[in-house]
Amino acid sequence: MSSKTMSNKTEIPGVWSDEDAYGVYKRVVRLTNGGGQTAVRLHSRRIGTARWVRNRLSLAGDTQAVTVTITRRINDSDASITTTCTDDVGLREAVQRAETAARVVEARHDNFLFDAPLLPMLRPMLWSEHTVQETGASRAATAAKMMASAEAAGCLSAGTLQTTMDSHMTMTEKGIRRFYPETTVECSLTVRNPQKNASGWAGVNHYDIAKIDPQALAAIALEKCQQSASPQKIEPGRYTVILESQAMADLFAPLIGGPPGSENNLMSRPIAEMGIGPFGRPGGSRIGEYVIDRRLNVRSDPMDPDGGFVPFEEQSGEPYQPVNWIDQGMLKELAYMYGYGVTRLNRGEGLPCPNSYRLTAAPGVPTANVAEMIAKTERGILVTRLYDVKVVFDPSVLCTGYTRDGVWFIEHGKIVRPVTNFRFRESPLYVLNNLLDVGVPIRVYAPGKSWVVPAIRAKDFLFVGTADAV
Amino acid sequence: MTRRQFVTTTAGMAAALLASPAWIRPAAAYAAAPKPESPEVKSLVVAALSAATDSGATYADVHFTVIHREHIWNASSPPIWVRSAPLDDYWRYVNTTPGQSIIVGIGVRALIGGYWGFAGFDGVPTKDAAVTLGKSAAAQAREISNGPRRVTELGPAPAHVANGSWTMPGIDPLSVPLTEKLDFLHMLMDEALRAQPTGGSGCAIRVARCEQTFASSDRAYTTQITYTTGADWDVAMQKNPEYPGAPGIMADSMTVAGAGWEYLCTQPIPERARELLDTSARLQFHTQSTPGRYDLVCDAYTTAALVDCTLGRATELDRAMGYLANSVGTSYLSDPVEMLGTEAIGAPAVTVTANRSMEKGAATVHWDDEGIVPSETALVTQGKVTDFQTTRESASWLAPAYTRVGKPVVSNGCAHAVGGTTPLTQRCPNLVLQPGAGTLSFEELVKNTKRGIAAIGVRPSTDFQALNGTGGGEEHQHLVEIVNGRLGQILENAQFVFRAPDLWRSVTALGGPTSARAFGFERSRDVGDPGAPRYVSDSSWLTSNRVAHTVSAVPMIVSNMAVMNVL
Repeated sequence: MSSKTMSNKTEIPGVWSDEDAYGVYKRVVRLTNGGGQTAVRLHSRRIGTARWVRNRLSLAGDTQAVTVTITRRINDSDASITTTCTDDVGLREAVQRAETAARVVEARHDNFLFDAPLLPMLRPMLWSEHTVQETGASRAATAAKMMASAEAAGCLSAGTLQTTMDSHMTMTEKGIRRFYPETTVECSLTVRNPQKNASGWAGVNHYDIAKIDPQALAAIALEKCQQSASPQKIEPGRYTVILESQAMADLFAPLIGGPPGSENNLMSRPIAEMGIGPFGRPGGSRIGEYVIDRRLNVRSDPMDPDGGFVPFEEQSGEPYQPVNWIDQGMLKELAYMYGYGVTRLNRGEGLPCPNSYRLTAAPGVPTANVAEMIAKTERGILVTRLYDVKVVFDPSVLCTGYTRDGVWFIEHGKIVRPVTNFRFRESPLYVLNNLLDVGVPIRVYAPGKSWVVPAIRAKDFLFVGTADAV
Repeated sequence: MTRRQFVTTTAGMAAALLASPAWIRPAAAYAAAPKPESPEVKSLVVAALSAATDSGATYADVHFTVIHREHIWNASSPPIWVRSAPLDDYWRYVNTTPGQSIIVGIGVRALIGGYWGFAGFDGVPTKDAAVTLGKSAAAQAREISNGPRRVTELGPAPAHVANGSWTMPGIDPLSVPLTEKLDFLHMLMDEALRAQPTGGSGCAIRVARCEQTFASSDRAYTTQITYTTGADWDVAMQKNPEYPGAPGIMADSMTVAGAGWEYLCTQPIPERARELLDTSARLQFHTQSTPGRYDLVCDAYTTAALVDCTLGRATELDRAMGYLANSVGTSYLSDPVEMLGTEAIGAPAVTVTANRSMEKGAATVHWDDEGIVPSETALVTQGKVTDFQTTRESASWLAPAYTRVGKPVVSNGCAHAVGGTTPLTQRCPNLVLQPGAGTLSFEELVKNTKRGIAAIGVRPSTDFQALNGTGGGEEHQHLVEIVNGRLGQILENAQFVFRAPDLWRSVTALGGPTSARAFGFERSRDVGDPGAPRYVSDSSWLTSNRVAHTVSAVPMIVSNMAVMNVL
C-alpha cells in the first residue's frame, strides 16, 4: 500500500502530503545560491489532546506544527537551520542563514550525509483511520470513562490521551526522497489515593487506537493504586526481581532508546571500535561475543506487527532494515551510518539504529506470565516501572534510578505486601545475564518510539536504598 | 498538487477545508517572522482573541512567539585518550557544527465553564486562520465543559497595559555575526589546549532570542524581547599516566543566563582556562572512598544545584497539587494549604527567595506570560515554607492559606507559554539562597573542616517528589576528600545520598555575601527529557521545550551526609 493511499484516504487537515512536502523541497532548492548540495527534512503534525487532573478534564487542545530543516553543504562545509516558516519569505531567510553559516565554518571531510545511496525502503502499516477519526468529543468521552472508576473508588486520576497524525519527509539533491505518514496514540494515567500513600500507573502508545484498551489501562492503574496503599519499608539489598514490561523497557532505554542513527548511542559501532561503551574493546568491538542470556533476542524491524516504526533515519534518509542486534545472547551487529560503512567496513550502505526495538525470548524458549513468575519466587520484589534511569558508568551501562507507582514484596510465591520505593543500581546487561524467566513481549509506553518488551524475572537485582517518595 | 487542508475536529464546528496557501500568509517585503510590535502581529493576535471571546470564552489569551536559537559546537576528535597530535595539528580533528532554528507559533487559550481549551499553530498564519484558532480554542473548551462542574478562579488581572513593550538590556546574541562566535569558540579551544596539547576540550555556544506578543481579554497587550546566552566548555589535562581518563572540568562561569552576547565576550577566558586546568591538574589523583557519614562542603555550584532540584521543584504549586502526577511527579510538600507558614523544612539559616527580576537571570522578564509583573517572594523563610510558585489560576488554590497568613491572593508571576503550540504552564523563577551573615568563602569552609568531603561542580538529581536524591558519581562532578582542612584526592565513584528535608535541616554554615555566585539551570516538564545536554554536541536544544532559570547560592556545609560507592 503506497504512502499516498494511506495518507490520502481522508485528506487530513494539518498533515502534509507527499506532494506538499515535495513542493517545499523544490521551493527551497530554487532559493539556494552558490552551488553545493541541499537536503530538506519536513515534519508536520496535528495533535489532539485531552488532559485531566484530579478527576476533571483540565485541557482540550488541538495544534498543528510544521518544522522544516534545511542543510546546505558548500565546499564540504555543512550548516543546518530548522524553521516553522514555510512561506517563501521564511524559507528564503532560512536558506540564506544556512548558506552564510556554511561559508564560514571549516570543511568536514568525514560527513557523508549527502552520499547515501537510495536503497529500497520497507513500508510498515503505521496509519490508522480509527486514530484519524478521533475528535475532541471522543477523546473527552474516553477520558471521562477512564476517570470514572478512580472517582467511584474515592481516588484521584490524572492522565493524558493524545492522538497525533504525522508526516515525515527527507529529500536530498542526490536523489533521496523519503516520505512516511503515521498516526500515534499516547494514553497514560496515574491514580493516587487521597491519603497520598499510594500511586498506580498504566500507559501505552501505539499507532492504532483500536488496538489499545483505555478502560483496561484505567483499571490497571486503579488496582495498582489500591494494592500499593500504606507501603512498608524493607531492607535494601539484592533480590530476585520481577520487572514488568514497562520497568524492563525503562531499564533497557539507555542502550537502544537514545538518539537514532549512531552518534551518542551506545549501539554505535564507531563508538565501540574506539573502545568506548559496553560493546567496545580496544581495537575492535564485542561483535561475536555473548553479551546477555542466550535465551534472548533483540531485534529492530520496521515491519514488526506490534512495534513498527518510520522506516528511515530522518537526517540522512538511510533506510532502517530488519536487524538482529543480539541473537540468542550474542552481539551480532552494531549501528553505523553510510560513511562509516564505506570508509571502514567496505560496505556500500549504512546500518543506522532506530530507537525502537523488540526484546523477546529466542525461538523455542518457554515463556512465563507475571503470575507464574510470582508463583515461582521464594523471595523477591515486583516492580511496575522505573524513573530517572541514568547511566553512571558507560562500560557496563551501570544505571541508577528509582522504582515508581507500585512495588510489592513477594514471599513463598505470593505477593505479601506493598513496599516503599527503592533506589537501584543495576545494568540492563547484568540483569539480562541473571535471567530466570522471560515473558511474552507487549507494547509499552515510549512516546515517539516503538518498544515491545517482555516482563522478566532475574536474580540478584541490587536495590541500594529506600526512597519514601510516593 | 494536493493541497494541505485544515479542519477543526470539535463538535459544533462545521468541517471546513482550507487550502494550504490560505493558512500561510502571502510573501511580503519583510523578514520571515514579523516583529512583535508590528501591525501585522497585532492584527493576528487581536483577531484570534476576539474570535475566542465572541465564541463565548469568559477569558482568553493569545501568545505569538518567535524564538530564534543558535547552537554551535566544537570538539577535538578523536577523543583525548587516543589523540596525540601536537597543538599545531589539532585543527585536523576539530569539528565545528552550527545549527540554528527559527520557531514561530501562535497559541490561543479559552476558558468556558471552568474548562480550558487550546488551539495552536506553528508558522505565521493568515488573519482568517487566526480567527479559526480562536474559535477552535473556545469550541474545545465548550465541548469538555459539558462534563461535571469545575471551578477555575483566576487571580487579579494584570494592571491594564494597553501597549507595553520591553526589551532585555544587552547585545542581541543573534545579531552577532557567526564569525565572531566561531572566533570565541576557537579561543576557548586554543586556551584549553595551549597548556596541555595532549589534553582535550569541547565547547558549545547556545544563544536564543525570544520575541513574544501577549494579549488577553483582560485588556493586557504586551510585547517583550528576552535573550538567553550560555556556553558549555569542558577541559581536561592528561598528566597522570596511571589515569588516562583525566577528569574533565566543566566551566561553571558561562552557564545559561538572561543576558546578551556581552555575557560571554567579556569573560576573562585566559584566566578561566588557567583556573580550569589548575583544577583538572589538582584532581588527577584518585583514591577509593570509604562509605560513611561526613561533613559535606558544597561549592556554590553544588549548593545552587541542590536548591534547584529540591526546593525549586518542591515549591512548584501545580506539581505540589498533583497536576503533574502523570508526568514528572508530585512534591514532598504534599499539602501546600496546610504547610504554608507552618512546615519547617530547613535550618533557621535557610531562606530562599524567588524573583523574575535578577540581573542576568535566565527567568528574568518584565511581564510573565499572563501579563503579570512578577513580584519577589520568599518561598522558604528561616527554614519554613512561606510561599509557592504560582500563576493566576494556581494562586487561588492557596487562598485559604494566604488568608491565614495575611497575604493577598495574587500570582507570583510564574506563568509561561512555551512557544505557540504548547499550552500555558508555569516555569521556575530565579531563586536566591540568602547568604550567611559572615564572610566565609568555600576555601574557608574547607579550611575549617577537619574531616569531610568537598562537592565540586556536582549536579544532584532527585526522585519524582524532589524528596530523595543523590549527587556525584558522574562525569565532571567531583567529590574530593578533605583532610585537616585541605583538599586531597578525588574519591573515585563516590556519591552522596540525601533526603531533602534532612539535608536542609543539617545546614551548619553558609558562605558570606561575597561568596555568592549565580548559575543557570535548564529543565523541561516533559517526561523523559534528559534535562541539560550530556554532550556539547547535543543539538536537541534547538527545538526543545527546555526553559532556563538562574539560582544564586553560596557555599555551605551540610553535616552528617551519607556517602557511598556508586560501583
